[in-house]
Amino acid sequence: MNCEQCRKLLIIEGLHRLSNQQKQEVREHIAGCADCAEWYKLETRLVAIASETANLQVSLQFVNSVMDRVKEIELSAGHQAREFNFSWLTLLRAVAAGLLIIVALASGIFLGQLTRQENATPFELSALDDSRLETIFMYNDN
Amino acid sequence: MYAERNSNKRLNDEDIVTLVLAGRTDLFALLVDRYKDRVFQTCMGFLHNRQEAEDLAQEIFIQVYVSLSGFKRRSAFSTWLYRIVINAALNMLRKKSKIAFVDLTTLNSSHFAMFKNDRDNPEQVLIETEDNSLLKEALDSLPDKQRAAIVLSYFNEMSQKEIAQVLDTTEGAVESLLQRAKKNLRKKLGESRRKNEQ
Repeated sequence: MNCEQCRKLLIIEGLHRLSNQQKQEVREHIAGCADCAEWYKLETRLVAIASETANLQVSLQFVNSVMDRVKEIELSAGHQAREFNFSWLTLLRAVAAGLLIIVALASGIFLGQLTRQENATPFELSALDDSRLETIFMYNDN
Repeated sequence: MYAERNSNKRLNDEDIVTLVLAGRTDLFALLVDRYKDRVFQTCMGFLHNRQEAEDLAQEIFIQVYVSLSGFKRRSAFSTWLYRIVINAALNMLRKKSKIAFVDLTTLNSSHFAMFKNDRDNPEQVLIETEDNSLLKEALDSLPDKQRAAIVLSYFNEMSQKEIAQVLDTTEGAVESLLQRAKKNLRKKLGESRRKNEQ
């Protein structure tokens, strides 16, 4: 194995991905190559700090804690939705009340007009002036 | 009940998402259970602190739940999840303007386990711990994408294809990110070593 091959394996692939055979070849190469040995050292340290956390697990209450917060979010979302519905309901009530008032006013006006028509003075001959009466009589004579 | 639990466990991620969106919010616990440790380990790769990483992991799952309706199924659920993880971790680091250093609180059980197990030389352990803390510092100073590529590759053991999907880039670009990241790491470690020697 030459330096280029060794560095390709260490830098691009990474020590943690190499097969045992490849690791053996790398070890043989670095025994006589100081620069590649530095790359190898960096790789072993990267693998070491990663393996420090590899077996770490979250605390036992982790899932429950997350789910408690999910429930809180759901409750708060439900509450907000109820508040939202309530405001729509209020608006709906206001619109309905407005419509009722409009209907009531319209009916009042309509009824008022009817009453005025019923109370209106009937057609009286006395109200007609003489010229118009003459016209009527002339028409009747013919 | 037991039968239902078992059949729920057989559901794939995308089916669970559908059911959660349809109102079975309790099934979200299955997704949390499936990914909790992997998400936590990714967070550890960025934060190097157990408590902070667990808090962030919790925030991430809440963020996932809230934005679940935004999952358009153009990629696997896990890819979408890891995108959220990477963004959340990088945002958290930006917010904190974190200057990474390793103090006693970040020395986790594995450091102390070394004393108990096969290493009986405390001096050697301290040197290695210091080396690791320098490497973590160097990792923290990498540009965002290079750092994400290293964390996904080493802490999550993702292939370059998977990393490319998460970072929404090509495999070639990931290869180049890893190459540049390692060159930067080596450079920074060399500088730290020289500073320590002075």
